[in-house]
Amino acid sequence: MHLADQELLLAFKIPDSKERAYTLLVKKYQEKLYWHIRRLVVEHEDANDVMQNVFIKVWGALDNFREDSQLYTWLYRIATNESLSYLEQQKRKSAVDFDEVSEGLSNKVKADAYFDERKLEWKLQLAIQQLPEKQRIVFNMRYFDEMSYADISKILDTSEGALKASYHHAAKKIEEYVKAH
Amino acid sequence: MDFLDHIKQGPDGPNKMPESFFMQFPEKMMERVRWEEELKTVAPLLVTISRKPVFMLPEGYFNSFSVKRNTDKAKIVGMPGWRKLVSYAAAAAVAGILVTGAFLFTDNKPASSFDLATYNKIDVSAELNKLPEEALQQYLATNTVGGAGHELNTEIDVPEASGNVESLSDDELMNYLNEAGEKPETK
Repeated sequence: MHLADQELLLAFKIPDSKERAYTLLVKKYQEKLYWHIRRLVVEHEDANDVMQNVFIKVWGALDNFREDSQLYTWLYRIATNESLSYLEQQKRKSAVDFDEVSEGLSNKVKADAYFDERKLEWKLQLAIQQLPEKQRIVFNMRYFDEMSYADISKILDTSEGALKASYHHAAKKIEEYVKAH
Repeated sequence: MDFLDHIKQGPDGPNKMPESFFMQFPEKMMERVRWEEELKTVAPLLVTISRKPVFMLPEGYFNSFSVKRNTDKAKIVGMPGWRKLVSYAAAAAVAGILVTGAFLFTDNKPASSFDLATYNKIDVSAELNKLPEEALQQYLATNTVGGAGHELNTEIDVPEASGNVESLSDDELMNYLNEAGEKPETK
């Protein structure tokens, strides 16, 4: 664990400095968590809603945080679970299957104000939306956040071998998609 | 500088690196090299694509982001004293109108002097037991409505009415009506 994280956790346990420690924790991790969530839910409003849920959960659960795990993997775990719950709620509301979910996310990507279908970065984003949910999460964590398999394993409760296979499979599919479009 | 300012700025001030930075640097570099080598073997095209966020983000979002916790209650603004008095007077006037209206429109008459609370405390059986036998008999002799002698006689035989009236002849019916004192209807 980073020293600063340890100090934040210590400060959070002291009533006088609890609120300030929490504010610093939010400031420190908000950007990383936001982009992790945004890549999963795509739209800003949705990402903002999930961010709120994540940090509310963090406030309530930080007292019980076990310091034998890393703070940032714990935060990513909450963010991932909240994002998936959010997507699940949306799926239930609209009663759609995987293809329709994938299409819905692609449409959200295309609806972005900066979207430019000629740019590789946007083709990459469209390709990611074609992946099954688990592969999408693994690919995002490994590709964008450069997270180690060991850390992803802690977040997703999946073996490192399975994660590696999942990432390789996803990366190949994305490359094929980008080349084809 | 307090404890949390120390965290915010790093151990030795805003321009100093965290102590762990150089210790972790070689390992981080090796991780980066491994990441790139892996991707080059699996999907080399992806190494060349920029990984900077492409989605539109509202300006200043991270600077203005704050968590809306349940404890963040809206600030309660106190009213000036005279406005409170006006509010109370208005509430009293409305209550007065409602009570008066309810009294007038529900045709309420003044309640009798009957006091339910006092009545509920009276043990009727105990009070009756205190009365002398003669007084009770005298009361029953003079107040017979719904009292003794008016019990429902359950032993009276009710005639069977399930017979087929249509099977009776006109003469038989006329006889019955004459006996029962009913005047037969003539067409």
